[in-house]
Order: sequence, then C-alpha cells, then structure tokens
Amino acid sequence: MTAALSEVKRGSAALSHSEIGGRARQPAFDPSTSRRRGTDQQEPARPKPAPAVSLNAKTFRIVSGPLTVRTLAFWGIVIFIAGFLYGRQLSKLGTQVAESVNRESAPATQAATVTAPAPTQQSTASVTPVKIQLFKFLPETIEISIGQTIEWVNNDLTPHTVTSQGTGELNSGSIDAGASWRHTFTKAGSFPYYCTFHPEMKGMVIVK
Amino acid sequence: MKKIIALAITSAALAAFTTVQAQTQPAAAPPNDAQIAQIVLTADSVDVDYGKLAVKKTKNAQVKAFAETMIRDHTSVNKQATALAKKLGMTPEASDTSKSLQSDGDKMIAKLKAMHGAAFDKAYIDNEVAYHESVIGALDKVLLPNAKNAELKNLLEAGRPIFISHLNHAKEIQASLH
Repeated sequence: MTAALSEVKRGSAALSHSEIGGRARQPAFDPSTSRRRGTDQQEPARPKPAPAVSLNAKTFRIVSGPLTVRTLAFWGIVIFIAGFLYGRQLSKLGTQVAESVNRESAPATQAATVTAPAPTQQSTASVTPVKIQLFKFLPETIEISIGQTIEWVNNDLTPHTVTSQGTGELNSGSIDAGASWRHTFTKAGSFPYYCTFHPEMKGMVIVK
Repeated sequence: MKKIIALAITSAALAAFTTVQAQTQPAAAPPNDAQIAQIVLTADSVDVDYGKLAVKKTKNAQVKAFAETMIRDHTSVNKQATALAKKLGMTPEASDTSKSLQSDGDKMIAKLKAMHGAAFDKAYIDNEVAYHESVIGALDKVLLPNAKNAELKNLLEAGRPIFISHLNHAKEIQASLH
C-alpha cells in the first residue's frame, strides 16, 4: 500500500514538473484568449479554454493545448490508477517474501512437520545453522569447509547437547530450549555427534 | 510378589487417564484450554517428583541418568507451558483429570518410597513406561483433539516427541532390568 502511495506522490510530482514545463513551452497562459497549437481552426475567444485532450470528428488525434483543470484531473486519474495497480503488485510480492521468511524461521513451538530436504547439505556461508527440532538434528548430515562455523539452534521445549561420539572436539554442555551453540571447525574430517540427554538423536559434520 | 507389585503399579498409572475418561456416567465434557494447560503442568510435575525420588534412591547409573533427564525435560516443558499460559492471559484450571493425576501420583510416590534397591529400580521404570504410555494416549485422544488455541496446540505437538523419546528410553532400561 505504501508502495502505491509513493507512486501517487511521484505521479503528482511529475504533474507539477510537466505543468512547469508546459508553461515554459508556451507564452504566459492567458485564460481569456485560448490558443491551440497544431490545429487549423481558430476558435473565438471563450471564457473557458478548450480541453487539452480532444478528438477530431474525422480523425482520432490527440491535440495539445493549454493545461486545464480537466486535463490535470484526467492525467491525474490515469497516473493514480497505474500507480495503484503497480503498488498492489509490489506489495503482493513483498507479502510473499515476508511469508516465506516467516515459514523458514518458524519458532520451536510451531508444529511444523519438518522434513529435511536432503540427507546431506552443502554450505558455503560462514555461519551455518543446524536446527534441533522435534528431537532431531536438521540436517542430520552437513558438509562445510575448514574454518566455517556451525550454529546449533535449539527449537525444542527441552535442553539438548551436541557431544562428540567417543573422543572429539564437540562438547556443548546443556543447550537450553531457545538457546544456541556455535563451533568453528579448523580441521578436515568426519565429526559424528549425539545428544547426551537423548542418545537416539544423532548427527554428522563433514569438514572438507 | 514383585510381579504383582509391578502389575499393580502399572495398572494404577494407566487408570489415572483411561478410567477417568471411560466412566459409566454420561460422557464428561472435553477439557477446555485452561484445563488442558493444567493437565500438562500436573503430568509434568508428577514425573518430576518421580524423578527426584529415583535420583535419591537408585544405585543404578542408567536409572539415575534417566531420572535426571526426566527432571530436566519436564521442568523445561513446565517452564514453557507456564510462560505460554501467562502470554495468553490464561489461568490453568484444575479438572477431574488433573486432580486424579495428582492423587494417583502421590499414591505411587508413597509406594515407591517404601521400596529399595533393584525392586525400586524395576518399579520406578515399569511405572515410567506405563505413565508415558498413558500420557501419549491422552495427548492423542483428548488433549490434542480438544485444544482450541493454536499456540497451545503447537506446544502439545512439540511435547509429543519428548514423551515418545522418554517412553523408548524407559523401555530400553526396562528390558535390561528384567
């Protein structure tokens, strides 16, 4: 809506520009003598000037003339309608983007039936998120490059841990509901891990 | 003797939910959201009480770790449920279900207190299996279908995998104890 409003404002500004431009093109506007350019007909002087837009009876031709209130109103309406439609389209796009962002950042209490898009996920961002949700690590297996950081975000109602199987560098301690934990991987290899509170929860980090 | 005790404890836990719902009187009105919130809070706090007793009494490392997870998880769920009720301006409301959950829980605590050693461990774990089974049943048949508020429903749905995880964990320990 605000996009539509800003389009209308720009439209109005354009009008005042053309109005100024219009005045510059013609001699000083004198409403008592109407003069139409580009036409053969000489009209008698009238109190009301002819409209800028008129249709010749035999040929459809838009002839230019002095800017009148009617002309301004006509073009104003045209520009307003165009602006309104364009703004509506923009705001629809905006809503779509906002909705998809909301869906992606669904909080813990949301009941999403989460399905990982693929078992393994490649990431090139410097901080890569892994969700802890509905007692699963998502994605279960993730591939990153040396030097990258993973942030485990606990979207569940209970605490979890990220702990290396056997000896290993992952040892988050308790990650509370709603909290997160980061680890930067400085060497290549496979790093299997699990949750010490709920040992059936397992994940894998592959560092290349 | 031990088997009889185990059976008695198991059926008492099951009775907490199933009997209250299946009384011969006309079907009880389904719980409203405020009553559902209280049922969740009571179910969690009863299991926290069981867990605290087990941590004190057990000598078995597996049972102790399990009990500590029960305390940690159910305390956390209660915290989220309380926060949600506050956010929704909802005062959790007692019901026949929540009251019988509490009284059955108190009776079970009294029974378990009188037990020791391996007998205690088995009774505690057997009760945990039965208890989590009946909570999951209640979630699926009563609480989830009747929850009206979307956020409350989300909380119940997020809580379900917790109870499933606990049930599976308890069954593994149960198998190793018998």
